[in-house]
Amino acid sequence: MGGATQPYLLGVDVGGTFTDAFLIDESGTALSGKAPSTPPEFREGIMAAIAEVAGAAGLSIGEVLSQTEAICHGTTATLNALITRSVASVGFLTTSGHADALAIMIAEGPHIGVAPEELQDISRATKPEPLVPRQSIREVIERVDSDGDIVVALDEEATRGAIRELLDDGAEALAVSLLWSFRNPDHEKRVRELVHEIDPEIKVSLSSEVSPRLGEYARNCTTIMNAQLGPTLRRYLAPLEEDLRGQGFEGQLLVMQGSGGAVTAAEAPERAIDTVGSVLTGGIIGCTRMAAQLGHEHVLATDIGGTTCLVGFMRDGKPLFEHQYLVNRYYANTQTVRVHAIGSGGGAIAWVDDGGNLRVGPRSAGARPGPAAFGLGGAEPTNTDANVVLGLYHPDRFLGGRLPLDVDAAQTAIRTHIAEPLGLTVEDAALAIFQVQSEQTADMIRKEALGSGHDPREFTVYAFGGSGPVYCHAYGKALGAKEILVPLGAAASAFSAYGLSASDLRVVAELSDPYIAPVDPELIEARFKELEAQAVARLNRQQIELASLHVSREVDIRYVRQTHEVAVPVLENPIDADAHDVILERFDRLYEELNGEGSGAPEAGHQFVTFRAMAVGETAKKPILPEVEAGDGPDASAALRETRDVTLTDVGPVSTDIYDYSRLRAGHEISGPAIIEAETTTVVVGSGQHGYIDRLGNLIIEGDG
Amino acid sequence: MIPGSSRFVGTSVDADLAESLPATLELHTPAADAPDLDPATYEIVRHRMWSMADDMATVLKHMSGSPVVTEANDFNFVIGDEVGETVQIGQFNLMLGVSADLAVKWTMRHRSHDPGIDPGDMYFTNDPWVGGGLHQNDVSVMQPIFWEGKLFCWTTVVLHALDIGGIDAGGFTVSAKDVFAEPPPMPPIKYVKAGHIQPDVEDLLLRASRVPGFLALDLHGAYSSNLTARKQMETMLEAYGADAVKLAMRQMTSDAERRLRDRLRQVPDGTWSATQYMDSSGTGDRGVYAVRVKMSKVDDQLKFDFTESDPQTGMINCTASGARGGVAAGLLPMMAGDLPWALGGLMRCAEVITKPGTIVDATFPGAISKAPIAAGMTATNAAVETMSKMLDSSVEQRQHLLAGSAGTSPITNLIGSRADGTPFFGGLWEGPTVGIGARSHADGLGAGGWLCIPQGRVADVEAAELFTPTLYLWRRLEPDSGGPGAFRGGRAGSCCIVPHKVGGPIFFVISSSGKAIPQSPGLAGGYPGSEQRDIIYRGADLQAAFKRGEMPLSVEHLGGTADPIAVHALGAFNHDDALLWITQAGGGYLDPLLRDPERVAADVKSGAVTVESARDIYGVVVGDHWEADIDATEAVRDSIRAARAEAAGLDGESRATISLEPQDSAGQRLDENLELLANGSDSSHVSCRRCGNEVAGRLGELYDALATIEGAPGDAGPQIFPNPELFVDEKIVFRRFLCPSCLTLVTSEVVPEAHVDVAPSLELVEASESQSEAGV
Repeated sequence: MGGATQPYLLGVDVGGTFTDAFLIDESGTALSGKAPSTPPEFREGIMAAIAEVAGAAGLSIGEVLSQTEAICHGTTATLNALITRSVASVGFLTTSGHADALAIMIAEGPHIGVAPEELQDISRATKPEPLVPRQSIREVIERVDSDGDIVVALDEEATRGAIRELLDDGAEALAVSLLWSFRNPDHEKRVRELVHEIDPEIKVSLSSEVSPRLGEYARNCTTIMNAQLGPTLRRYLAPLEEDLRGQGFEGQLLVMQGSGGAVTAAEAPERAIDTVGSVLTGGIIGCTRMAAQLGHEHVLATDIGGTTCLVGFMRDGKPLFEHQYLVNRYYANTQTVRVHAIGSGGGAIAWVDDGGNLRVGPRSAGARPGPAAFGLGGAEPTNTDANVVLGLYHPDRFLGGRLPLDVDAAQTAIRTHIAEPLGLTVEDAALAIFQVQSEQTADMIRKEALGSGHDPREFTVYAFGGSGPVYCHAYGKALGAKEILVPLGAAASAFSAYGLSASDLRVVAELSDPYIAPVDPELIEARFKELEAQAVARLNRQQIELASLHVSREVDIRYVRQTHEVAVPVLENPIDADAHDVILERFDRLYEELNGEGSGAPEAGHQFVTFRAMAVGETAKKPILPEVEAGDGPDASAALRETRDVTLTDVGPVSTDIYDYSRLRAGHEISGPAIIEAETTTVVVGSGQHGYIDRLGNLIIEGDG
Repeated sequence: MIPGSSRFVGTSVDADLAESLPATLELHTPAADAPDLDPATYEIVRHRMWSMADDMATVLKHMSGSPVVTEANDFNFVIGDEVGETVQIGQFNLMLGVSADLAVKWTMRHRSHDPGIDPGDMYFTNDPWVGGGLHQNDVSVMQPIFWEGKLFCWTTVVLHALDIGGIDAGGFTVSAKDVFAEPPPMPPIKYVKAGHIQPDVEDLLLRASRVPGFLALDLHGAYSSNLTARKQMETMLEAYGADAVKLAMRQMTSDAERRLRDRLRQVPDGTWSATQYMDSSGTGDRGVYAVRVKMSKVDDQLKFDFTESDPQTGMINCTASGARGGVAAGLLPMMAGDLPWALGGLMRCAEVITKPGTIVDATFPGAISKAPIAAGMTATNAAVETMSKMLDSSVEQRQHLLAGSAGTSPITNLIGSRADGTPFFGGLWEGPTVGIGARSHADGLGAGGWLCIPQGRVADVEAAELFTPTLYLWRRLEPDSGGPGAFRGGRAGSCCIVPHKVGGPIFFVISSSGKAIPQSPGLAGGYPGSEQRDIIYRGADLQAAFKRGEMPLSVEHLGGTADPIAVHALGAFNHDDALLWITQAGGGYLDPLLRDPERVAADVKSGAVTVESARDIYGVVVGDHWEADIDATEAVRDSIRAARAEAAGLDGESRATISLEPQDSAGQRLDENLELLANGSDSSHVSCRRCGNEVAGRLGELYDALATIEGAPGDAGPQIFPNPELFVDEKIVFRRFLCPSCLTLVTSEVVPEAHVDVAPSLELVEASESQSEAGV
């Protein structure tokens, strides 16, 4: 048990390449540390990053850990386990006649989770490997109907036999998902009792607990993946916790969930599926905190790294959520902050297709061999190589000089693969790659905005990741964004870890209970009461000191016959007849906001589908990003490092001001074309654009309007 | 044919289109001195065009309340140039939108003088003769986009509306003898004028519909989706200039065309034929109707000639645009799966010829309300069969071939009242669980959806039970449904439902073809995939079984009396009856005896194939631990070959040994089984690539020279219904052609007895270096 007296809070973000640690003390002062990640165990990297940040504070790792109240940790362990299929062997029990639901995949098998260019080609189409092999599935004789009435009683003897077979076949955990179990969980609960009669130790995931939601296919997938990940996550967390305790850590180890809130390490494996989306959320939470400090209401967060471009939205200061997440081409019913991978990153390969046309991505050179300019054996030209040729990166100062760039290799790659086949100069070829990447990123962001019912022009674009700041002046402009912000202050180098250190605790309880309106308000109220009690009980089990506890309600509603549901916040408490109608009106309004004026179909009737209660516990400490030193005025010439020829437009190379970020101060102004070289990234301000450093040390590029 | 109706036939010919326009309607064409397009601008515009079509889908799906749009993805988008030539088609229902160009050209020809084509206008049509969709429920909204005073391009939304009137709800009129019994087709009318939806026009459309609210949402969705495209197009024109964007649009079509032509040049010239059948043309009809296509390929041009198809009849016809859509729905995913879908360019490589008055080119007032899932999909399958045969003659291109995939979308509408007396209008919307046919290198896809809708889905069982008061005893991938072959067809979905908590009988309207003759044929000796079945087990009395704690999971355990339902039928069933529904699976590729025994064992293990079919059809003996017993398998396969020899009337002596892998072709390959070899300098014969023996003296005599086995349909396996006489009058047979020496099947088909197989016509060419190399 961590006491309230401990001064520190740690955020640790385990990425594929680097592990970042972010430390805040009682005053909110923040420090960060970075160490290489150490897959597959990751523990060493985590300890090294913590040692690094402790060093920055002038302390030993033991001194920091013994005074840390909580460590919030974002892990790729569960996601990686699913992607590499190194998960626990799971036996699946389902209603007789319905084992094939997993193979039928609601007839989406060939196209779900497939890139657009792949879904055209029928000769190459494939369905994903089954979540569990057919031999690990057993049907149990039982049937419940849509009212929750038992039509056929559970055949217990046959079920015992099925359980024994699965356990004999080596199942490490069992998943049980029966039709309509969210309406009546009795049969699922009884199956678990039967399992525990045979083996009391075996972990059993019930769909009525993991995902009590309408729609058996996604519920099956969620329950199975949850069962597969539980043992994986336990095996990952136990030694990590041991290492931390060994260094004197007495606080709570927290694990980030996809929802942007954390749970304790003890709680996490029971609902391991909730942690799968967590890799992406640290950055969004970081944005939320920073936006709150800066007063930005609507933020479009773009994170372009080596292989992917991630996009998330924040509206009215809150991230957008979704309640279903696609992983490995299968559905996980779990609340996640909406972050989508939409395109390629710096490592995307430029190529000429067999029609003689320039293309960029989606194939990526990744971290290995990486861009040709990295000199790690990559020969194909990438976005990064194009940027090197254009002069955007100084070969000796890329990533703070940690990675010297081979300009010749970049030029050769572009000359051989792009310039010569297309009959262009190397510079023109590089510029074409840069323009295509910028515009296609804009296309995909616009598509994401449209898909969530938003107009990008109302948003401030936040651009981070290794490559985001190079392109944001172009895609931000193409999108007509209000302004563009590149985080460069205290949190810049460990933005996700900063977000993790800022996270709240969050648990979600939900239940599908589909009713066509009107519904007895007392029934709705009773549903919410139960769910709230469940959520609060789970939050209280976390045993961590909370500054506040807030419970909110939400219900997914749809028009009858549609499947497009909208999560509607429910502010009314208790629910009465008026509140019932207000909720439906709110749904109609939200639906039109998301889908366009006149799109509502109230005459089709409304259907309440899934009720949800969220309990959020705010931790006592919150990081406050420190303000940076202010300059004397707008003149940034003191930070001018050099001028060099850079190509950003068809005009060709232009003599461009290059600034050293470490010498820029709040209030300094920069006119494009200009480049700002920082420790972790390179920022481009486009020709005709105007930028300045804000009080937190971020670079703001002003929009046209 | 009604006098004057020929005016409403759309045409892709636009030689004189520009001259027919009023002087006030200027078309944008790039200036002669427009600078060349740079690679970046081209790629940016290309991506934006794809992105726009995709964004149009997002807007439409959000606006529409109709499950046909939001769930079934039965819609599409087209971006065309200033005369409607299609530059980009969306990845939705491929049959829709293929003929948007015809509708646009018709509109330009007939509406540009009066009432005129002006900025902010949009035209509505649901007339498949004019163009756009395939039947009246496919409504199109076409938008001209102007830039600097000139007509720059068109965007078109085509979507399947839930109901637009007519005597039967939903528009499919199973008893229709002509179009006057169906929803009326409306030629292009100005729906939006200078940015405003015309209330008189909209009222006219909504008044006819049983669900005006849904139709209004669909129309407004199409309107908004066009507006979204216009805004994005204008932004792009602002940024890059009209000439550059237009040049990029031209390059998109020419690029796609050039690449498809390159591909076609790798395939030998020749002619391939296919005949596909529909059973019954409406309620009470027991006829069989053929779509016949002769596809020829010369150099880099395809020609699909459908003129020998049967005369128009009943309600299963399509207009000429249906045949064109049908061909495109096969051509795009097979031949252009890895090319940009710049349809105008791709279709320039494929001429489609039909004869007015036939089932694939019905003249007004022929009934066409079932067109897309009747003659349209049948045309797709006929085209796919010819293309696959052609592709199989090329070592380089055979990777793109595809055995037959589902040839229809089954329709089962269910109407009745719940136990509390409230009425319901429901159904079985299980159609997307149809199977995709085998590929050259892989099995087909189970529950893979239709070829023409690459992104379909089926509702969860729980959602289905919530909507229609039934219990699903099962929903599964039907064992043995996939067409057997060395590569197996993808399996089909099956389900069995029982009325549950109903207030009386459930009334049904069924319109599901392919019950007497399979519509997903096999290829090169592979067997057809399963047929559609709707069988009511009357008096099954499952309520009693449930009370006893039993859950019947097979037909044998259902009890009751089987009542197979006709192709087109109206009727009812009760709470003590069960409805069994099995749909169409994919066809197989190559003789099932050539399937790797380990693959068969894996199929038995996964439940795809039963132990019995493994032994009887594949000749594979599978052990207790799902391993293939190789010795026993060899013995069974030998006995199956011996039985084939006997059935074909061949003596049992000295059968040639066969190789699982065919020999490298020394001449011109016909497919994976046969090749054409030179006899000297001026003649050739057909040889079996499995055993090396001659099978025919001349290619034209192939089907006379091959050994033949003719049996009952049920001999093809459990996926074929043994009693087609319940549905059609013609005699249906299971016919196999095989190499008389090694007894390898080269064609296996379930067809009317009168069916004629036509050998391809193909020139013997010198085996090219690439062929012999790639064959290694």
